[in-house]
Amino acid sequence: MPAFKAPAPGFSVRFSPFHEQRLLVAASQHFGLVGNGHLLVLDLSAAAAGGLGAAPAPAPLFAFPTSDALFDCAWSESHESLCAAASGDGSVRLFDVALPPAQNPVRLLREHAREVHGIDWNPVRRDAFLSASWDDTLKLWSPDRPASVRTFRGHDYCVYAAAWSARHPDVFASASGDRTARVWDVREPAPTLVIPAHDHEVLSLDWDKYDPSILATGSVDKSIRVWDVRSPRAPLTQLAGHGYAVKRVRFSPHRQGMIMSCSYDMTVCMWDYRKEDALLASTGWDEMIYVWPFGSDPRAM
Amino acid sequence: MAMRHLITGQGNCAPDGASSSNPFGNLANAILGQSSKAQSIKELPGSAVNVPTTSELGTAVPLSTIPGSENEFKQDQLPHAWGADFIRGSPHDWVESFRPPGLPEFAGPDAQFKEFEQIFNNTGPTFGPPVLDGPPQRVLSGVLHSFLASGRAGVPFQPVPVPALGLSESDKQCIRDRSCIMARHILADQPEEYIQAQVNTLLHSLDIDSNYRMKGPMHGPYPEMEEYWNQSQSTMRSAPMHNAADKWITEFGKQNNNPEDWAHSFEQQYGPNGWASEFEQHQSQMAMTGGVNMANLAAMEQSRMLAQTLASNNDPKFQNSKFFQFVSKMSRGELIIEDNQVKQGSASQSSGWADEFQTQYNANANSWADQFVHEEMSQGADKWASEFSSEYNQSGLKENWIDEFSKLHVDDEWAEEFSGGAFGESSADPWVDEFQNQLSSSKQNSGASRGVYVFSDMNPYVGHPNPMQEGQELFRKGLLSEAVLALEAEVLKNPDNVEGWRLLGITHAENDDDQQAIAAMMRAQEADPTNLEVLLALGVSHTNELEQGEALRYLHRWLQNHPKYGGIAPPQPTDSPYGPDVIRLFNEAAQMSPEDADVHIVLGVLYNLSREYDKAIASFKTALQLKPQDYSLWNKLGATQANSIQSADAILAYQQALDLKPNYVRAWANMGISYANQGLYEDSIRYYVRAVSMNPKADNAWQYLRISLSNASRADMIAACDSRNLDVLQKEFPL
Repeated sequence: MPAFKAPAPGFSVRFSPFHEQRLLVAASQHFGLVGNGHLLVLDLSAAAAGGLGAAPAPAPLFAFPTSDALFDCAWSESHESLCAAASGDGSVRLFDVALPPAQNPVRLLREHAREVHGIDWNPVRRDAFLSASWDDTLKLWSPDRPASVRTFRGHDYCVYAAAWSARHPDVFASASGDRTARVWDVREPAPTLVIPAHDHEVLSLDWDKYDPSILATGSVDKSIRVWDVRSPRAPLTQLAGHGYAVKRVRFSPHRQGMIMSCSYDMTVCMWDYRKEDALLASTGWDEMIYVWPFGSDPRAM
Repeated sequence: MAMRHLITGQGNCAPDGASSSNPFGNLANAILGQSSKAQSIKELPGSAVNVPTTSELGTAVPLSTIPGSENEFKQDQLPHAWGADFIRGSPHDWVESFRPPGLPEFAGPDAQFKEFEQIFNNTGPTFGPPVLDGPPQRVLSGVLHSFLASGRAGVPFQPVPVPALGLSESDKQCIRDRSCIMARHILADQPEEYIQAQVNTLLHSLDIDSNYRMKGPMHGPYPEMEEYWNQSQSTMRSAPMHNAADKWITEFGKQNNNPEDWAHSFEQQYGPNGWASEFEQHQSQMAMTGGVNMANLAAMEQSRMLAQTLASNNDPKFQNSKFFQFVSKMSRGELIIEDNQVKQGSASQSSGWADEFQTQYNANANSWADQFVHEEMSQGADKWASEFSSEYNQSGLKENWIDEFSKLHVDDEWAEEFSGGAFGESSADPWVDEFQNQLSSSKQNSGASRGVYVFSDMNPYVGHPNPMQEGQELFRKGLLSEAVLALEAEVLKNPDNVEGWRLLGITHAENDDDQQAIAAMMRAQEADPTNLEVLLALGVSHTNELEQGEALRYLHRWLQNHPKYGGIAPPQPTDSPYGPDVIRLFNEAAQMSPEDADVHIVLGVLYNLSREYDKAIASFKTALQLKPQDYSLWNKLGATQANSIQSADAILAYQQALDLKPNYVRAWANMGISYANQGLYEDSIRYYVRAVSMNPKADNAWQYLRISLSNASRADMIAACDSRNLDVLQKEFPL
């Protein structure tokens, strides 16, 4: 498997919606506590062409250093070389990877008062994206506008992540340290739904790409919960197995019900939330991959 | 440049040449009105929103064939038309669609453009290259790393003292705020007070004022708990909780006077009685803390023991033991970043000064072997590390993994620069990867982060009848890179040759390659644990890496094992000798025999450790009166002077070292650093170029060169630096 060692601890990885071999990576020094950030574009095709035996590293096509940590990044859904990064200094930065570093970022959007921790580009309405910040707000942006289109207030603590619905152009959800996940409609002034999702901070969430009412949340309480927003009183299911806070959770774009998650326990887990024994496989820092047959996951105890 | 060009990037934004695929271009077109409406309409909808064509995806399966997409995605493709509407010049409507009912209308397109232009112009000048002024890398990494590691292992964080890092106020605030928020993610199982205490310890160790109001967590906002925690911690296990509770209530009461009070917001959230129940919850958590910590400590001790047998245990279940993964991974510094091209800090400036102490020492010290071996056994982690590395090295040798390794070498210079050495980025074998992590990660306190020695792939000296003699000869002539090859051939032939490994380590140090130097010295120490030269070299290396505890231990051992001064030092092994004690012992030794230059040299090193640079300079000067021909001693003096901000004096000292040994790569590089510190970047470039042309593998020097090039506004040569094109650089910067 090709491996690439980032210049600093990685915080986010995104596939390009235009080039399937292209990855966007956000990395930050010192675990993002202080120091510089790096936005990198990797090309996997160079790795694939490397030949037999040794798996060559993906080639970094572009590298943009930034003066503060980057916590998240997202490709534009409307332009193949445009991407956005969430910076620790409270700015949202737009990069055109076709331009040299000296001309980047092409846009520096300074509105958030605190660290911007999450960013998500609208896959349906392709000219809009969201930023989620530790200043407890989310902001809606268009790359064509110099200022934010809207600010969403309501969370009582850091907002860590935002995720657009894969189906509805105006609907998104947000995950916050106030232990709630909220569902918003950009046409409405207030959240349309507040889910007290976990007993601890909610760090990440994502929508099912096949069922627009299904939402998964990952929390510091080590669990992932899957929700049906039509009946949000109780989760559809809870996925236990991570040993530390769940840092990020994502639905597969290819198979319904499939969830990947990564955690501070240094593992990545693959789940099918619709199955009774949901954990399918896991991998850790040692590059060993474990496929867990039914009922055998020792960590689920 | 015209506004329009700025925005459109003159097609730069659009590699396919269709400028209309650039949203900024579209905006410019739409707003500046310089392309007629008819034109825009003609271009739409195909090019306005840059939808990938099948050809752009290459052989990839088109998006539409994603399973389920027939049902799920088709209708969602419609928004193209929506995008087209927008680009046609009516952003107003689009923006309006986001306007929540009851909010004022957004300004019209004209106003928008004005606003846009204003902001664009305002922020334009700041779009230049980002300010890369990260704080000193190694020291900070080490502290932050041990902070996170202790957090996960559940042991109280015990920072090593760090030098003044010169962190800016904003840096400090970043660390303060972010460590507070992130620590809660990792330490979720611990009570809030514990988290606060951990964070505060970190902040204190970095000289950051922790009284600053931090953003409190939602599940227990007690930003003022530090004092309470400190006081209650000692009594927690035995004393009744109501004392602590009183204390807390007092704190709480004080806080209530604060107008922008946290308690207020807390009440809002939890209701007036919320804090009480919250507190009860904390009480019960706190009562448990003692036990939890003990359990974790025990587990860590256990995993350390497990780690010792790791090399022979490939059972995947064992390797998957999560707690073990944590401890071993963190102890190996897996999460630490390496130095990259970011501006060097005081840590990297000091890295040059002392590595080549070894050369003057000729004593043999076999008679203390027994004692030493005993001592060695008591150091589980170190022992394990060397076992681990030697096992790997040996089994690897059998399987020719070195060859495999060389195949894996990164072709890409960029990646190599970041990988921190000559290691490939990937491999089929997870163990090899671990070693990469181990090596490329920044240096840690634990000896376990020292890597295996990496041999050159093409070595003409393999098969040479007497590579040792050849290597010594080459070293004497100053042909350091050649000497490395010959000595590698020697230690491949005789893996237990202490002198071979030692000289190899010295050669690497003089060649400004610290990682290899340390790896070689560790092999030498393995072969002969009481060799005075090796002990001193390791003490010096650890001093260079600002690892005080390790350095003191090696230097203390040097004294214990010295035939003349062994009587001064208490014979029993000490795991953590106290710095001032060691200095006192060496001062006694210096009084015993003031003519022994070695003792003065060690004193100089020790004073560097305690950052008493004036005393260190005096010690080195004394030693130089006894050994004026010792080039490495001149280099140490220079590095110490540079550390105490006497860069001009340092240059004189380095010049002495270079007069004595013209091929001394490290001194050339240090010279460059001193010029750079004085802001003389053009001069520093010339010295760096000299250093890298003498040893193209001197990665640090390449990084310093890159920094100086950018500081000297010689961006035109950065490409040559990145591609390590020596011809171009030497022609441009002759010395």
